Amino acid sequence: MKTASDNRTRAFTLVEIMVGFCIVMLIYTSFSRIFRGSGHQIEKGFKMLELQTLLDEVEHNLREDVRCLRKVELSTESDPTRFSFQMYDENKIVRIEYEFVAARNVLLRKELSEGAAQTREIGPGNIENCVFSAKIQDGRFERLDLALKIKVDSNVETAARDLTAVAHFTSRCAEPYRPWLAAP
Amino acid sequence: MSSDKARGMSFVEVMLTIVVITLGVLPLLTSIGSTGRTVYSMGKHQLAALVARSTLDRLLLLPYEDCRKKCLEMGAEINVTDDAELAELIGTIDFEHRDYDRMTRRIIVKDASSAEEQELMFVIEVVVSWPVPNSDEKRDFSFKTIKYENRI
Repeated sequence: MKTASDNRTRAFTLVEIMVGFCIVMLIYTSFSRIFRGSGHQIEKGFKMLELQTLLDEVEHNLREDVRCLRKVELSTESDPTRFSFQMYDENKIVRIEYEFVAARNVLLRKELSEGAAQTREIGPGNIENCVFSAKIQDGRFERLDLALKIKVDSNVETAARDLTAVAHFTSRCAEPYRPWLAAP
Repeated sequence: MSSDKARGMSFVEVMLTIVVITLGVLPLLTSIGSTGRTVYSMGKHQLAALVARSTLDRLLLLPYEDCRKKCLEMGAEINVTDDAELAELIGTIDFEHRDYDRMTRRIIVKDASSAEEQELMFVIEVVVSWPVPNSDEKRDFSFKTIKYENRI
């Protein structure tokens, strides 16, 4: 038959509780650190993906349009935030204008050809800066240079929040640049 | 009573437990480091593609002979930000050099096998590389295209 004294010996001692508590804390600290680190990496990955998608959207639109550029209508010398040109779209010629609106952090793509202008917003709220520079040599469009800064909102300190990129775009259909012949 | 006491954990057991747990947690920490490197690499991939496409666009614009000469001139590996034409653009905005940190570019020219074909075309390959942080590893991205002589 067991006595009360025997039962007491089976309970945890203070030292055992302290050791157990320390072990649990060690495990908890390690795991919380791991999960926090993973959380940051996931957040960073998401933000990077957002930045990449934005960059891809801007690049894809410009590359597709400038590939079919026929002639430049408005050079970028006076206003590097605007670039206006004519391009071939299947069998017709359309007028396209890209404009960076700093107040709204957006890049606008305006199709000015038929009837009312069709405007599409690219990266609304995310384009921090955008500079166009059209290189025209001997009256012929050579290429469009672009310097771009995009940003995304993030609450995590380590997450990537902005990205700068520079690029060149060339045309396969360029004709000589004659601004005096450009449509108004 | 003495046998009941022996059921408690000994110091050695506690230490063993800690060692086993630590050994279990270590691979997780390593995997986080690897995830970080993958995320970093993912971030550079799009930029590298942009650099490669831009460089190719610039080169393809040149006439055949000039293009070949320029490719050979620009062949050596250089930092992307040291490229004169890109550097000019970099100066136009509040540029973050960390985005292109140690990203390099080199251009490889590959000739066709026969002498006849060599006069008509060659392959241009633009390779953009960037280092993976905290490792000796390097990631590459490359674009290839064929430059044709205009007579074709």
